[in-house]
Amino acid sequence: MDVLRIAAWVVGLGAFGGLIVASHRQSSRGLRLGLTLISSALLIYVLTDQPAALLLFGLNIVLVFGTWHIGRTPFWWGWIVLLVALLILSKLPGIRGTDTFSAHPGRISAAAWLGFSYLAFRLIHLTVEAHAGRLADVSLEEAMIYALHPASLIAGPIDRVRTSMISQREATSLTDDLHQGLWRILVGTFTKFVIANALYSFIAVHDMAQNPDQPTGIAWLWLFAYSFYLLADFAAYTNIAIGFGRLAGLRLPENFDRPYLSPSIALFWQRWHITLSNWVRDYIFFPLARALRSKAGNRYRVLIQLLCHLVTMGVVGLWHGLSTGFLVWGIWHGLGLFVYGQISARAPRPTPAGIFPTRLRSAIGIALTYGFVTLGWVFFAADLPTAIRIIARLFGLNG
Amino acid sequence: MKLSPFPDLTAFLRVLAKALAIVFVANFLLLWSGFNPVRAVIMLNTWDIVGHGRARLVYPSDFANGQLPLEALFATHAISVRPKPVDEYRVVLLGESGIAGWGLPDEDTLAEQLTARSIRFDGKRLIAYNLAYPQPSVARDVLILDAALGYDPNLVIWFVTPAALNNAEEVIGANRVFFDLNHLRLERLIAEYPTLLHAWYEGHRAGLFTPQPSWQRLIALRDQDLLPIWANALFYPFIPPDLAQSDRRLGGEPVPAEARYTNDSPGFERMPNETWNFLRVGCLRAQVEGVTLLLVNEPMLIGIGGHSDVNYNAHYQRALYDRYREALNVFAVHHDLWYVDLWNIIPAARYTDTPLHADAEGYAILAAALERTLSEDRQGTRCD
Repeated sequence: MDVLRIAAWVVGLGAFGGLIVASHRQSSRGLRLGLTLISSALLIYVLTDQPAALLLFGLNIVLVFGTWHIGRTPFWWGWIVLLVALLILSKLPGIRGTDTFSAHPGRISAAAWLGFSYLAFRLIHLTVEAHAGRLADVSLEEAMIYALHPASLIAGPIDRVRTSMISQREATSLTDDLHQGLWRILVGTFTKFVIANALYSFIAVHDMAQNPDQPTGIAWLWLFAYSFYLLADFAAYTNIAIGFGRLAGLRLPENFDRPYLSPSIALFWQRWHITLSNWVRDYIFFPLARALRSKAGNRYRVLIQLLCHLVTMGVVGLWHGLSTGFLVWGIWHGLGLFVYGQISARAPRPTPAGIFPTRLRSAIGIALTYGFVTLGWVFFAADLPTAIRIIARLFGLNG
Repeated sequence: MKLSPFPDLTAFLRVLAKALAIVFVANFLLLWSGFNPVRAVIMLNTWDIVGHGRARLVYPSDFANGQLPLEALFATHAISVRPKPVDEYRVVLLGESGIAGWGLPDEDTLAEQLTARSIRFDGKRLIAYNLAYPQPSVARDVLILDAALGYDPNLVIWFVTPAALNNAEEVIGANRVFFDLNHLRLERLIAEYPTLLHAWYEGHRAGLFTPQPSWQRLIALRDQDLLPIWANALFYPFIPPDLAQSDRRLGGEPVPAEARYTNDSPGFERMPNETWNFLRVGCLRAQVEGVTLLLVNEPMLIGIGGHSDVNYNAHYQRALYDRYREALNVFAVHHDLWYVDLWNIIPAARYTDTPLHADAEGYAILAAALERTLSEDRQGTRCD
């Protein structure tokens, strides 16, 4: 570890310590913003080990400024187009790849633009809120702390500016926040390093994405392990983020709520990556549905629902990466949500005295939902041709 | 789990401090006693309980990450399941993937076909155990041989190829994970045979092991990443033979213009080189235990058509391979090794996906040739 990196760790941790104290003392917003930016910049630097990543962090700051000002002008929609274009750019191969500045001097490495997927969605939200005039009581400093807080910078969750603002203004107990924050960090660290990493070791040895020609039994074991690995890994990061946010007096929203115990796919998406699904619901599904219905009325209601689900979940898929596998994974869920919506709209409302007791019905629902979600993870794990081979292998076919 | 179960920060920190203290004390007790709990756990293998032991060593599908230490590999293998019967003439086979039976079910591998021939010596029935392992390396093979000697073999049949004797860092480094996992055994052998192995060790030390920060020596609670791999070892096999099976037959294809190894390839400048000394170490180790060692030049595809005037196959250029054969013969004679050259015993039509992977009929031919060698010319080991 070089001196620069050690210094970055020391200064970054010092700045975050200062942020903890400043937040609980309700120090000036300027001081809290300064400590937030220093902590975030140095977090990015120590994670990427690329000084040039700081330039991208500087661009992040410029984008928040831009959002703050342009969101209030008639060009707000153009700003959203720019943010979407940058989001797509950040996911392009070669930019998103592992190339580093040292390997390709002057070339932007997307490894360095850490957390932009989350930032872009926060900024789009901020733009819409600014356009709608709902930021009157929010200060620029609060908006910047919301967008660039080190706790949620890398792996979310995708908070909303008003809840963040309320949290930033709320006076909380330092000891209580240290207690609950450290607890969440401990839980997250355990989940990541003990559970997720153990599951990953299993997955790596039987990596179906690399070698799909493995026996059916092993293919299923790999898939089950992969499904729990994804949950453990992401939930761990969320726990750690929420814990660090809490240390600094910021209440970040929950992102997971026992998703694999959901009795339907609709409920699953209310419990899995909650902040992302809420975001796409508010900014893609509802606006698209409203727009289509205002044009077509109720004549194509079912078709509109199908289209809205497919587009929304397709975007969710592509938000994870520009690949056919992610797109198909999104469409898989879009179809699942559509079919479930159609069935539940037409099915008679269940009564406790129905054919199936409530608990049995719930258990069947959980099993079916878990099976559907888990099978969908195949597209998340591998490129499309490999995913098809894996699915063939799962069902005992030679692919 | 969303909220801490502790009443306040002080109680939480107190429990955290106690937990950390217990971990530290346990860690240093384990360090002091030299006991690694993970290495103990991976010696347990339910395959022994529910089955008959594996017919071969565990192949990981992810070779770079999924290997186990030799002790754990042997714990899963049939050779360790029960004591050697008095009427058994125990033979172990060493070599690379072809001898291990890549793409073949257990019953078609060389070891099983050799056993099936019901060969008897001095009233004892020959039972062959497959201890071959993918990736060529005589250094790796000697470590397996060293471990196998603990299971009382009568004979070791060791198949070698030019690649296994290559002295290039890149080729030797392909087994780095294996060397990492078995570094104590390798270092012991180097200490036991300094005149033979010291130069090799000094020349390759940098690429042999993955560098570990010195502070990691203070952590006894380690190797947890072996646990999921060990759990994988409960499923047999890692790469199922039927799925690795290939319908391809290289004998019908013209020999390509480019061979993987040529006279100019790194590691073949001198033959013999320092890596070849592992052949002598293997022989000496076997001799110490009173075990006979037979060295075999592994059969390979001798292709026709295409560029067969330059290359034997996609792996070996003719000039290189001929030089190797000549050198190995001279080496064996010079050091008094029991050696047989079976390089062309399997017809070209029997090779499948690589010039060293034959089908069941190919290994039947090899088994018959070995039976002839053992019957006509069985010798005790005389290492020089």
